[in-house]
Amino acid sequence: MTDQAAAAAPLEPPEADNIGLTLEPPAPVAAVATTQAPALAPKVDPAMVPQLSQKADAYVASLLESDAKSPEFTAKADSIRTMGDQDVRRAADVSNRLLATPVKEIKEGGLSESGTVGQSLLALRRAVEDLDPSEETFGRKLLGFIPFGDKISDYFQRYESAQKQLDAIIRALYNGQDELRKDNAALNLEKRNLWDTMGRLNQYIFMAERIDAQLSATIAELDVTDPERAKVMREDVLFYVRQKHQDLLTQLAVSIQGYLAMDIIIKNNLELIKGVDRATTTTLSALRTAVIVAQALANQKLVLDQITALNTTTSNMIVATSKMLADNSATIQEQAASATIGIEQLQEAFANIYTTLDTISDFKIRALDSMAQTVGVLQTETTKAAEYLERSRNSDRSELQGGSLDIGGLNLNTNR
Amino acid sequence: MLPELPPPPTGEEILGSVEAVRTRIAGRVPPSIAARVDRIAQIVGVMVPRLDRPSLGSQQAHTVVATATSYLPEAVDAYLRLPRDFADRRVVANGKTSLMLLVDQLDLLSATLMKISDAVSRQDANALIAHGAFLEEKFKGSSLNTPSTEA
Repeated sequence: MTDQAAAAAPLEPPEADNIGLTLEPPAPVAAVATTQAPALAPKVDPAMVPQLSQKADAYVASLLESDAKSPEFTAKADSIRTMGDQDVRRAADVSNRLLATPVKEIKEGGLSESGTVGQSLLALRRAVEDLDPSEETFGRKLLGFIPFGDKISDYFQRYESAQKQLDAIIRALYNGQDELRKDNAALNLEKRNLWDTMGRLNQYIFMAERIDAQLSATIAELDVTDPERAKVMREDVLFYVRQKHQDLLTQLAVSIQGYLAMDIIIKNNLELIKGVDRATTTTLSALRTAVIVAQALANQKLVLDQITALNTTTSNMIVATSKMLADNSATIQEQAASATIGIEQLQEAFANIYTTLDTISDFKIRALDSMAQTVGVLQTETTKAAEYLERSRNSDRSELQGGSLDIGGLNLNTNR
Repeated sequence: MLPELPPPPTGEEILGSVEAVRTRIAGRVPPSIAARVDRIAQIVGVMVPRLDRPSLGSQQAHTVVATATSYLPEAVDAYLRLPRDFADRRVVANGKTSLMLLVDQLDLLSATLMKISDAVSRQDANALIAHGAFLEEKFKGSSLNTPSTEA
């Protein structure tokens, strides 16, 4: 009470309240057409083009050299069927894991009601509702008359007893946030691996296209000179080249789909991390406001009581000073009134928590929607790719020994 | 109904978690790792009794607790799961071996804990400064006092 100006200054609103919280769920992923796939995937490095072309050309040349009935020819034709199988399978594994991820995310991840974050936010809302000073008549009474009697101390007792519960909730929110961050780190790593795999698929597609072009030209010539050989080439080689080309494109499209779906999960998680940050900071500032107001009111009321007592006694005793004391009382009344501004701030802080929580639930609903659509598309695309995987499983020899068209030996690994 | 929230880990649980890590690594990691884990254990030991300081933000308190119960054990366990030869010799990311990655992670953890610990100490020191100001204010008397009225 020594510094009147400072005591009468209204409380500043918590800083965080000035910035609106907006959480935006990313748009659902649309289906990727196989024809678009090579353009969307990591480009074939121009430095690699001569190497890949040379490998494709050498393959076509060696096919033409060997007798169509020889075992060498059959072995060479098989190379087409096994080309890139390992990378295709790797990509398919990622897609399958991925398909499980958003489904799991929807069921028990950050967006679901049963996940850590969902549960904690629910608990936070309940606890905050319990503490809300604007609840029913409580707020009006508090603001309506001075002195407040026991109302105010009742309220802050309630606040104190809720403190433990709030602490537990905030702890749970932080833990949930850690989980979201860990998920994102793992997803980002998966994304990087998938990116490398897609790059390799694109290189195989490049080779398949080149082999297709060369073979088609050669077969056109053979049609005139050696129709029998042209027929063998067309049925035993070109057919499989085109089939492989289509399979590679399909798998690449599915991989891109998965890649985009991963992006969605990562973005959703980031938004939720932001939401949790905001929920914890608004809550904390509301509670801190409550503490400040509690202290200010308790101190002021104490001093107010004492001065009023002094006022009464002295004014009875010394008439001459009573006027001065009355002035003093007026000042004190004013100060007490200024403390009630603190209560308004408190109510505002609570309103802010509600806004934050509403924003997060609204976000979750929209994000879930977008995620469900993404999963739908991913499922359709993966089903399309399943046909190929079946074929690949039947010709299961590429597992250990790659065909002659395997690019593993070339230094194509784009890893770091 | 409100979901059941787990109670906060007690001081013993927090310290116990770090101690368990030290037991797990005994004789299984190079000295450079053991020394860093010891350093973290030491800071956690200093921080645990101070976790209820109001000057310690809830986020920082979470960092201290989570370092002891989650960040440190997970980093060390991920390393322990790898065969020693692979972990110490094979480059896995950004030209670094798993061992080097673990060293980086442990350094980051201990630097973060150190910063938090420093901040709390500074806050505690502030209390001393404020008390000094209060004593000064209360006992300095008026500059207009004559020498005879000085207490």
